[in-house]
Amino acid sequence: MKALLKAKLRGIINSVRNNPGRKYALFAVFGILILAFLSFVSVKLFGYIYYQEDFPPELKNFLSEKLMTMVFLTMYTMLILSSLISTLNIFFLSKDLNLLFSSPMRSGRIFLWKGLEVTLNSSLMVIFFASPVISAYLYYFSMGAQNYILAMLHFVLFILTGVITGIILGFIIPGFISIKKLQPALSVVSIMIISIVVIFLRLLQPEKFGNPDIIDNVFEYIKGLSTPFFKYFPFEWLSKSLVSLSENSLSDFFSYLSATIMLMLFLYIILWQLQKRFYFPLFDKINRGSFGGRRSKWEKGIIKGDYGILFKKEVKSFLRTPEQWSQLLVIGAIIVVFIMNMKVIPLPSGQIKNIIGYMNIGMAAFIITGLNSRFTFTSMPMENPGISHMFASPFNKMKILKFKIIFYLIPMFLISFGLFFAGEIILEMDKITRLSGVLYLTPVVSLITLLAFYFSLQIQGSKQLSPQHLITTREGISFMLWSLVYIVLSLIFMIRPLFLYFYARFTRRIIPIGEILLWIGAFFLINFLLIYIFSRVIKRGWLKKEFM
Amino acid sequence: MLEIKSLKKSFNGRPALRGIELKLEKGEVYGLLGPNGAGKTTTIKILAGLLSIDSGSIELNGKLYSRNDPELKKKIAYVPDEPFVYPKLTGEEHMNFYADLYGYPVKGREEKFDYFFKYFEFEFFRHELVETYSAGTRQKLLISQSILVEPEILLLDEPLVSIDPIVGRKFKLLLRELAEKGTIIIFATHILPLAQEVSSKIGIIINGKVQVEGTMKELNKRSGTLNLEDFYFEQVIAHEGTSKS
Repeated sequence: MKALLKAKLRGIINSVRNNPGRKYALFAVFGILILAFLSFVSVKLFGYIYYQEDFPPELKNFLSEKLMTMVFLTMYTMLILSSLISTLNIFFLSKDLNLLFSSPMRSGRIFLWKGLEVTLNSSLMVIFFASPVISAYLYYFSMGAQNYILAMLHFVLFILTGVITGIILGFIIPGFISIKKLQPALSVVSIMIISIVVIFLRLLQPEKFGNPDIIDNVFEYIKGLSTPFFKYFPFEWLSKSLVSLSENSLSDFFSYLSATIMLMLFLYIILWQLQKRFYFPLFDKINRGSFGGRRSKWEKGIIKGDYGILFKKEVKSFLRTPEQWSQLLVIGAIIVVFIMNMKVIPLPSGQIKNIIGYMNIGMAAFIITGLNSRFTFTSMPMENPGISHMFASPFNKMKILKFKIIFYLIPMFLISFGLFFAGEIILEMDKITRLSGVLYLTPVVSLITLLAFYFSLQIQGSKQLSPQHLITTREGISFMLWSLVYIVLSLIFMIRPLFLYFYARFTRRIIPIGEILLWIGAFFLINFLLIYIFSRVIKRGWLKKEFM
Repeated sequence: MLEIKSLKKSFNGRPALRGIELKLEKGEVYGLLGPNGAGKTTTIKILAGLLSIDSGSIELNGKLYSRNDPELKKKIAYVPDEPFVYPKLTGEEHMNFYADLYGYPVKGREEKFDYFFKYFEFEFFRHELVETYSAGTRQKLLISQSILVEPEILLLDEPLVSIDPIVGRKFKLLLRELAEKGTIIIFATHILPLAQEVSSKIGIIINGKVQVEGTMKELNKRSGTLNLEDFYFEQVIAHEGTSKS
């Protein structure tokens, strides 16, 4: 155990040493911003309940308990799912297992170590999200270091019950379904959950929390929530125990705490028995490999010729990688939120509608940047080192590059115009705003996609990297930053002709068509030049690309 | 005929090749030996078009070789030292993809595939995703597809790593067959008996330069021993010592 811990720590230290400090600083800034946002929302919410003079203390506690139960229920679901996925990865598919099992280390210790890894992997996010909620509640309702320690103790035990449940499920399911098939399926399920949460959060219409009349209705709604079977679950025990701390009822607190401890011990005994009986047979079954038939006619294809070869390879690889295409679900959720945003925001006049419509064109460009960052930017480095087969072959290199650009550019156009026209239908924009949107998006989407290729070609080395790793490289961050700068500048530039048009219409003057056309012409000229320059640089970089 | 003249290449200012000279006729099997980092893989990667050259030239049948010339590259096939593949394609799809890259005719492919999958004994995995293959099976796939396209020059970087002895033997027989048909084969290896058994010519590359070259007979004559291993050690120690001093 000591040796494993040492190796793990050494690995972390080495990775910190070998990566630039800026990368960690950026992560820290993002983390702090999210934490600040969560803390702000939690403090606002519990503060609102706490300062309501009309509410009796019982009602305040009741409302807080219901709110926390909802939060902990979500966290518990996340925890079980995450622990289940980690179990499949860490207990069955991890590359170090062969080394560990061939070593003289006792299997029970290896099991414990792997359990610890699963716990850390799956619980960090939950700790990150739940801590501000617990802290905000305790800040208003139950001050004191002792209460804080007791609450955190219960929270840790709560996490352990979730993690162990996930591991147990991870030991039962592979008995019936192949892990290599299950793992991507679970990734899809988790992404679907994220998508549903994104839409659900939007459906809650958080902007209504700004209106006190509506917030009262929300509390009425929460009060009406009654789910009797929740009392058998640790998420309700945790929220009830926190409330009992605020009521200074330590006996209640300890009874909930004991229930959690008992459950945890019970689950742990089940898990230990499961591992003794089933772990090794399951491990063998998984590592035996699978044989099956996946016959397909290679000759058939929608596109013929040289591009058809690349198209077949690209589409087959994409469709057989659920981790890739499942993220389209998140994109779907973003699009739904984008359209709903337009629908729910009250817009008093046509002119404001046009301005919002114009701003939404920028929003579409931001979404395209995000998509390019995930898919276009990562496409070539993720194909490493397989792409060297193509480089070593007589296949025309320029055709590979052109294909790659077209393959990613077309969906980007479809999505960006889809978003734009969805907004246009809902907002019923002015003709000129509609036109300016089309004029704006055409060069902007092209240039952002080219920028993604430009920065991806800067990535050195021919080892395959994961999308997460790639996006956080210096090149990935540079792409995001430069794209954002470009979108903002281009939005500012294109607002001028729109302003000229609406100002003339508002003041009933003659519309300065010449000046408007000049601005639009200049916009196109600048973008055309940029597209030309980047195309040349990308072409040069591509032809000079080396595989060390 | 393949001729390499004064080939130089450096990475970030550090020289990897310091003037490689090589001349190979049709049907020659050239075994490239040398310690790690000597420049074997770099030489092969340059010939495969994966690396550019700093100076020097490569001529193929009297024509100057360029890494972006598809017509010349059609004549060369490459098997890398790391068996990298597209994991989400099946073995047969991968072969098809590779054949398409080389513009190899579709007619008659099936029969060729049948032959390779059976010959290298991995028919069972033909319709399995490549990601499920072992390292050895991946290597068999890469070797099969490179021979399938009937190249004039076959570049092999550590071809027998992870391959079992029975298939290894079959592979050596196939190499001889290809050489008889006129294919130039260049392979880098650390397995000295393989070089001794298969090569018509052996070159020992040390510190980016071919220091010794010749047929097995010539090398035996020079060293006065029949053992390639002893000769190899002698040469590496002599030349590495020279370069270090």
